[in-house]
Amino acid sequence: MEEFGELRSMLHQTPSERAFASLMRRFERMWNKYPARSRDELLPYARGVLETWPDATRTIPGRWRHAFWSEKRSVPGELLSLGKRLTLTHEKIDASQLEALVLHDAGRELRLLELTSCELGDAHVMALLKGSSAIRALDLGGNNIGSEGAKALAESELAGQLTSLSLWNNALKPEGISAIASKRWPKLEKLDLISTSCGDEGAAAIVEHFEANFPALRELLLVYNLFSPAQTGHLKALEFMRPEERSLRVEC
Amino acid sequence: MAITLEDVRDHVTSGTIAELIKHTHTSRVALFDPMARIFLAVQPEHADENNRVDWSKVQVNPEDLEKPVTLQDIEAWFKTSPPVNAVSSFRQLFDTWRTESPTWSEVIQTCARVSPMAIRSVLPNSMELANRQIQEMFEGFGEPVGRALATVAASYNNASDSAMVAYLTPEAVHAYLEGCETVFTPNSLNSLMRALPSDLDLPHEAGEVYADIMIGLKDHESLDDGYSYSYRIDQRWLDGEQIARIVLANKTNIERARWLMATLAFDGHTQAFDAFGEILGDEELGTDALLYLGLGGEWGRAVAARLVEDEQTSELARTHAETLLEFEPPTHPESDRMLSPLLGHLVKHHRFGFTFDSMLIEKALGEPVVGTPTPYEDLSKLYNKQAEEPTEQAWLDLMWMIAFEPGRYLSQENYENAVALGLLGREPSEDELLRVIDRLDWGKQINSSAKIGYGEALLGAGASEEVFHHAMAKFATLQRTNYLGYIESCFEEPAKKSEVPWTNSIERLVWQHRYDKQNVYHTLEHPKQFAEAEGDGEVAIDAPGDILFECHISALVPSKITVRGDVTLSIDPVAKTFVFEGLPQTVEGVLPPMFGDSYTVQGEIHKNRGIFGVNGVVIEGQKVEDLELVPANEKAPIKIATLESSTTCRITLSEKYSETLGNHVLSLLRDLEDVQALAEIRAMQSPVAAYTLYLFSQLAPSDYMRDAAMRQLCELAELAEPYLGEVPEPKGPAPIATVSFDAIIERMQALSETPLHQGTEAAYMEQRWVGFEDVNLFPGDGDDDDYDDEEYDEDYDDYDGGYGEENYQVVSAVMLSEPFEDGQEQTRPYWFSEDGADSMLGNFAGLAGNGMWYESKAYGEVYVDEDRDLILMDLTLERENYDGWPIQGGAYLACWKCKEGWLFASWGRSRSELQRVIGLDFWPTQLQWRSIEGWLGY
Repeated sequence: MEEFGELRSMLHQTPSERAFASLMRRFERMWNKYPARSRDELLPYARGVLETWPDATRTIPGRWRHAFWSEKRSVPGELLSLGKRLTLTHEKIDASQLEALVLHDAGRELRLLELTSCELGDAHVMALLKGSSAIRALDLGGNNIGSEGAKALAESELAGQLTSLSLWNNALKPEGISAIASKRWPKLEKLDLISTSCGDEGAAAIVEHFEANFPALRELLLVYNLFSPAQTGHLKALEFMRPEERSLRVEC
Repeated sequence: MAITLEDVRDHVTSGTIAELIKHTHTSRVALFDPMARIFLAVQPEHADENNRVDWSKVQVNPEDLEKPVTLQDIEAWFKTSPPVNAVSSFRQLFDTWRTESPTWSEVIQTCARVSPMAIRSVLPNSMELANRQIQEMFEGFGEPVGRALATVAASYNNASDSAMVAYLTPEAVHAYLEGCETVFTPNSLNSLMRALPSDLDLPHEAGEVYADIMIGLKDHESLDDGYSYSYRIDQRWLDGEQIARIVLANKTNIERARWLMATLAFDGHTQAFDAFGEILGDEELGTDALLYLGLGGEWGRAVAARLVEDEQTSELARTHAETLLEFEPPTHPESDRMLSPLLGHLVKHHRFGFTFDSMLIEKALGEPVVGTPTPYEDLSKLYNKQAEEPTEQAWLDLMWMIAFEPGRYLSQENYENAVALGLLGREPSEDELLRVIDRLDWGKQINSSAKIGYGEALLGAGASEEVFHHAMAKFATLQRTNYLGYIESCFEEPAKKSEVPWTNSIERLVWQHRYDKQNVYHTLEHPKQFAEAEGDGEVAIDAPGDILFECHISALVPSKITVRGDVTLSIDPVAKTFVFEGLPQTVEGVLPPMFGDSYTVQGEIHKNRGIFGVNGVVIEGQKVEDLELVPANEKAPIKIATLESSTTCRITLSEKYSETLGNHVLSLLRDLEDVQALAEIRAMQSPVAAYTLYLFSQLAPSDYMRDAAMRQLCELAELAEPYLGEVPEPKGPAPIATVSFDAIIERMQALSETPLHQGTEAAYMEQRWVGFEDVNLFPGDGDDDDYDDEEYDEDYDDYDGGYGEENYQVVSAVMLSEPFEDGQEQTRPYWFSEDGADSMLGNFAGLAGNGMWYESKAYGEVYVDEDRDLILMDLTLERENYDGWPIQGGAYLACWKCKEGWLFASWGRSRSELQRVIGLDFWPTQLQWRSIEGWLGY
């Protein structure tokens, strides 16, 4: 059928966020029109090809973003699970919705999650940690997460799997930062703690545990935390501790 | 004076930063980093509840002031959610002149990514968009900027960014549509779509999003039960399937679905017909779709043929398509194109091919020649219109100042910045003028309060005609908003004032610009050229009555073009003048710009009217009426004559279709009970009108309409023969039955639930009358139960001259204006004579009830039918109210006879009601009226 052929060829275009959105819209129309063939024939093929697409391009389309917890816009779970990145910004989200997200079959398969300025608090973080997850990059910037949320994150399985963690503009305070610093993040390459009320105490914890707990870190962002000149110096000094092949950039 | 780094340091250390902030914009050139550092120190806690920044709380490390600010610094700052007011002020550090990173463009894109809610604070405002550099910056914005604008719109539940979004890239527009999917109203969506340029390369998926939005809006509360003008499909980026999806989603509201289909058919997009093909198999709308395919000529027929061949086509759709293919539409006698009543809309040629960008000067510019800048004091005088003999250098420097600081007052600080950038003192030359023109913001002026437009500055700086044209072309291509009066004050008025010899051509171009803005068309294609003739010194070709033609004269020599027998257009390209002769009045005028060493003359003639242009620009006195009619099956020559046998003259002829016919069909499709529109179609008296009536007689959704269409078709005699197999006998307009005055009263009473007013002495006429209002009462003096005569007498001093409250309603009444003596019919009133109709206006004001309009101006159309003893007038009334504001009203007047005598009607109610009172089968068609103008006095 011509439509199936067209969709197959769309899978082989240059991967991009926009291309993925177009693909999903077309796939949804096909799914509604020919459900059995779409599920049995096209879906396995699409899954295989899409594995070669970068995760960042496989962003859940805007109109599906709420499908994890809302029935208003029902999307076949199989299609939803083709997306690997979910971004929501400036939208209030309930903790129960986040729980639904991580318990959702497709939610568990997300690899990049960006929930910025969504009025999230510690309870939301707890909800987020209720299910097992494949998340590799987590951006929770611009929320109301405090030290308890930070502690929970540090204690979770995510600490072992994240390559990027962004908690900018959350009042984590020294306790929250210390909790993060005192746990090992073996794969973490980027840590964004801009404007997190880190303070000298939090910075000291990072400096203290840096070598042991952040072996893969390449980018440490700590500006807007009102460090003393001495502490700033200690943080910048971290850059010199790394061999050239694992160079580190510290912004503070 | 401009501030220095030391000033900044002093304010920072002394805690008086607020003093610095007012210098943000002017310090952006020399002190970008220190000023930016100050903003980057602003944190959310520094703002009060109204988002105002308390600068005394802002702490900046003086040692950081000179540290270069990077884009990463700015990104980090945005992540802290700085106060919006601080972001707006920070944005003053940026403009399109800044080329090193961080640029304005980079800041906007960073903001879109990490702080989308602040996006409106960093973008230029909608008044700054008519600038090439800003538009180019927008062309670099991708999806994040569109999505950020949508995030803000969604947050405020108001998607009103059309002016801004219209300049974004397809990806950004797509993201905006997607992000606002649930926020749009029919109005805001319509407004956005109208603003988007047709050449925007939106992806197919954007069409899907749009279709989803339209379907989501079909039950929007702002739409009433009838058709709503704000709910219409913009099909520019849709395919037939997407269009059909929207229409079919609306089929529970059949009126709405029909409204959508009617507007689709006339929009000039072939996919509309694909959509009708998709709808053809629908149980409810399939027959409507069939009618549309039939009306769609070659495009509709192609879809029908494709459906018949396609195995997937449903049985119903196939049956419909086969029905349509049995019809045999007529073809254009010359081009052989299958005729369709929609062709007037789908194949248009209103503009004769002129585009402003043809006047752009494209050339590589030499380096600026640097000289001495005009002193600030001299520029200030010039800016304030106080300079006595300004030099070209001064005007050029002033233009550079305004290009550098559009919309801002001239100041010493700005001047110093412009000098620092090397913008002032450049030697005036064509290259330099082109360079400054390229930087101008076409929403601004040099000094709007002193009424100095760019045109005045250009002329002052020594701009040639070509450079002036180039500037106009820049304006026309960059300014999409239609600012009333801008082009006149910017270009036309300075040209007139300066009396440059080419003033007249500027006036023509200004006129053309206005005309283009008011006549925006989407066309499926341009008319087909079907004949051509060429000769030395002169040439002639026979042309049908309705024609588009173009004459090409290979040298700038005078020529005379003759059309329709003896109407001549004489062109003098050297004197740049033209003369129309052979019309009731000779029309003389000036020509638009003459470029190169040849010129063209264009004409579009339909029935007795024509419009003409030279070099693609419509010429003054362009609307020519009263041309001698050429019968449909006859031809009249078009000739070019020059006195130079070495000149090559060429004429090309192209199809001309009636837009009026299309309008009548559109009117009919929007109201499928409108039999008057059928009469209008019949009045066009053309093969395509006959075919249209035949289509409606076979395919209209109701028996009533099919019968009415057949009746009108039969009136077309020979034109109807191909469809009826014989020449029908036209019956002509139905005679008006002469009934008694009492029968007239009955007809009127049938229109109202309340008793009519009647009397035997109508105001000054002293005749029998009947009306919905009391014709003897001045407006505002009506019955009032609480009215007390005594109180009225006491308040007599306040009497306002009999007008009472302002009530501009025209009285709807019928009066026996000339009773037959002894019951014997008398000759017709004087009004039926050649010059008599005007005098009927006197009767109008003779009714006291129409007193508000006494001595007002009345203009409109009159129909005099001696065969049926009928006069009708359709008038617009115009006067000033008591505050001096102009007001307008409408009235119908009528004269016909009843058994007792000649009747006069003054009518403020609907036309169809008057039609019923008279007993008229159809209102006269548009071609049967002539214009009338007069005064509503005695």
